Amino acid sequence: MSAIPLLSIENFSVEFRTRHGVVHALENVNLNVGHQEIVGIVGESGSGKSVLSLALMRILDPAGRITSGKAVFGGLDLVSAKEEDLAEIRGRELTMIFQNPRSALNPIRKVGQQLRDVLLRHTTTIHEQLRSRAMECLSMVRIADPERRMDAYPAELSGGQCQRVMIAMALAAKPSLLIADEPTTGLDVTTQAVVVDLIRDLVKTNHMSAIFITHDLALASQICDRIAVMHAGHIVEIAATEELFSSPRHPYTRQLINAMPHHCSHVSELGAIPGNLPDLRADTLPPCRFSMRCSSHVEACDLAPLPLSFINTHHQVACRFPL
Amino acid sequence: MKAFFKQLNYVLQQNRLTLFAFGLFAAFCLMAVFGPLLAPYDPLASDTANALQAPSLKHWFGTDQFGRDILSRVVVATRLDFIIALSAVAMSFGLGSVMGATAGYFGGWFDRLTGRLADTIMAFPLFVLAMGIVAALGNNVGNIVLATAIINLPFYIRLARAEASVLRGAEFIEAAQLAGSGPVRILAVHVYPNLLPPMMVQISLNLGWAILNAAGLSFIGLGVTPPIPEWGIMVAEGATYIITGEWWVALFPGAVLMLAVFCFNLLGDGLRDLMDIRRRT
Amino acid sequence: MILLFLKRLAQAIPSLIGVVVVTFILTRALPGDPAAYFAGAAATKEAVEEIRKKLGLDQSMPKQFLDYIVNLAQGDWGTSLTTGQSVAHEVMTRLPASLELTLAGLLLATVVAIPLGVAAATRRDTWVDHLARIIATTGVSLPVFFTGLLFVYLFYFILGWAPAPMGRLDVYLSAPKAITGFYLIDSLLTGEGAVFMASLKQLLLPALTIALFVLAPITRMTRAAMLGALSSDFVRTARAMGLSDTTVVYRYALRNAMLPILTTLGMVFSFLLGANVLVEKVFAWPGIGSYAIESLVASDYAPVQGFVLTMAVLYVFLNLVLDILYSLLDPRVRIQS
Repeated sequence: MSAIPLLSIENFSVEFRTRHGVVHALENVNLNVGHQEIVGIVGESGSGKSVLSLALMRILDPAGRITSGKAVFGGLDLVSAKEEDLAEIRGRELTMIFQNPRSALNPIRKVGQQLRDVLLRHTTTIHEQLRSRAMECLSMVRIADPERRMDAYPAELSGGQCQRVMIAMALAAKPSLLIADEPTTGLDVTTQAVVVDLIRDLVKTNHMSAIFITHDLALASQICDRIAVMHAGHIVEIAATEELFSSPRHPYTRQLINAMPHHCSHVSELGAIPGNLPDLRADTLPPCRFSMRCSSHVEACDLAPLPLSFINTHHQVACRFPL
Repeated sequence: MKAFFKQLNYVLQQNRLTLFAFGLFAAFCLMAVFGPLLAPYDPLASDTANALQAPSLKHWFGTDQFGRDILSRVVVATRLDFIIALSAVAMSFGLGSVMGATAGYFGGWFDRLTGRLADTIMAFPLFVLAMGIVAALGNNVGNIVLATAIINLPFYIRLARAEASVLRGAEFIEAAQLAGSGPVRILAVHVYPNLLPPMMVQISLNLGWAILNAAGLSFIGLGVTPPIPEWGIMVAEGATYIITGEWWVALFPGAVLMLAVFCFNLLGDGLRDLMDIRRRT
Repeated sequence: MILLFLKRLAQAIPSLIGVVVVTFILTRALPGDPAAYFAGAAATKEAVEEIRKKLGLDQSMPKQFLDYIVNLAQGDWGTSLTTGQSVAHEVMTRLPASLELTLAGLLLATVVAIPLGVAAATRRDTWVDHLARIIATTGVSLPVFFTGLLFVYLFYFILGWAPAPMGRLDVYLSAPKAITGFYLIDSLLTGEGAVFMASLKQLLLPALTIALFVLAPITRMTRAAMLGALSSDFVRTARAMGLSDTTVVYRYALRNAMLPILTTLGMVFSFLLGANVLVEKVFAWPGIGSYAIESLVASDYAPVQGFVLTMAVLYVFLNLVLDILYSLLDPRVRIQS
């Protein structure tokens, strides 16, 4: 494993111009993804997880802008790269799958055809072999009876099958990094487990890396090597999975863990995190966006910028007074 | 009410086009009300010696085949076209909104019946149906109004019905029901007034379309008879002179007609923006 | 698939029934004595009575309705007072002229409107977008008979590019052998190049007028549908999968956008058929529209009713075609049924 990370995100900030003001969706995000590792990004809805992935792929809504930072992927800075260079890697070296798989697929196009579109675009498969290659891809994602499923429309497949088709499309060109944006949201619990296992197996088998985005900390712990915790557009903690759970250093992480049902034996023990995410449209947001909800908040927290600092070699926290 | 005007003002400031439309609308209203007083000549007075004169300082819009001043005729025609359009739309809106609201709120057999009626009207190309109605009932202005009203009915029925069905589940309606208000009272006092804002957009757009419709019918010889000045019939009369180069006879009434329709469409769009803002805040 | 077609056909039946009922009411809703209307203004009292018996106007309403339907089915749509010809025959003879005009106009409009709408949606806030929006807003205000006249003035009188607006063909040429009734198609089939060119020249200006009239709504619809499709989840996925812009815009977005476009096209057809009538008058086009107008002016009512019935049936049929096209394009319709 080389020391240079596969993806290096530095001081990455994104804002959206909306009718109601500028939304500071992401601020100074720093994150590395190494080779052959699965990094999780965990946070509440609205924490900016999806914005980060869409911004990296450069397929953000036109109202969104990357205002600062770099994201170096295989020597190419995704932020400043030209569209031609991005088109070379998008869907090929760097791919993404989404939540609600049935609506993420083209409803009036057969899934086999959608798969063939990707194969045609990114691989050197010749026309005659497209169909068999597509069937191989479907088998690889463990879809039974691929011959028949090829000619099915998304509406005729289950949510789990649709997600597997999307995974097949994403992995068709053997990318080096897969971004999975809440791939199990919208699926029932049993299917969730199957999909997560599939992703882990395929990522490992293909010696790839992956970014696994979810709001479910428990789910992330099942497959991620490292986990980054996000809150209101900030990364507040990054650590190896085990260490994150055994010694969380950020108050928000501690509360997230306490809110997980597995850790409690009784409903009354379930911790709720007070308050709501701050309004990201405000002109002056405090340096620590968790401060309004933090039980250990003191005045010093509101001064000066708040960097993400290393507390030991592999553990970073963005907190003045880590736990 | 005050808040409404405040928002109206805001929208007008933001949207110059809507302001322009309002100005135009005011101008047309003036012409409609004071037409005969504003016209420089008697719209019916013929002066065959001066027939088919090109626009000049004496006759800004030129004269027609009978020597009548076209500007005067165009100005006076505003009233008739506006009356036709307004009456037709008022009838459509009045009957259609009540029918639709009742259908949407109560559902059941009345809903089905109303739906059938609207669908049957919509099964015809609307202008063709208007022609058929006027042909059947008799060729006069009253029937033009009636025909235009009938073909516009489905729009109001459907809009009112959709809004009423949504309101049916609203909390304040439930509250009124619990307070003991009878269904008719609820419909009249609570449901109906809340339908009005979105209907305003439809009314404005409809007025434009009603004028076009009425002019179209007069163009083919239905409704208004000469020598009464009306934009559509003036364009029809002018049509024969286009081929011989006397363009002003048809152009000016047509252009003013276009302007009036354009004005109502812009107003409708502006009102729609206004409604959007209201709904969002 | 056949089942779907039959199902759609069955769904069109209530509309057809409604149309027949309404046209029946229109024939009997004539104020005063319907028999007098059909006999004509110059008829004697005996003639009126004769007509009354002949048309069964002395029977009960239900019987009259039954007779009406039977007559329609048998092709007896009455007789024109002015020409003495059977209405059904006149309508059938003149129908191709109207169809050729309407379809030509629709084709012209679609060829411009859809690319324009697509371009407006993919190049937001550029001049193309603004042009499309201006067309969409002003286009709906244009009275079609007025634009027709303007075109005649500009292209015939001033520029001399277009021929005189006097019908389908130059007076010196004779119509091609009637195979479809469409001069363009028939002249090509019989190899009469000169007739083809001449028909095309006569067709151009009226077709352009109709095209301009429906350009606005179709452009607006296409733009809106494309904007919707381009911001959908599956287009985002397609982009993330790195598919080319062309594939994303045309194979993914546009094909999906065709669904809402097809749905709203039905309303456009209503305006289209109405516009047809007005354009036929401006250009002296010998279709069923001008047939109806001429008859109206002469207080000859049977042709008008035949015209209304034909247009309505045509409209129901066009909507049926749209419905079927929609079902073919959207597999979810088949899956859900």
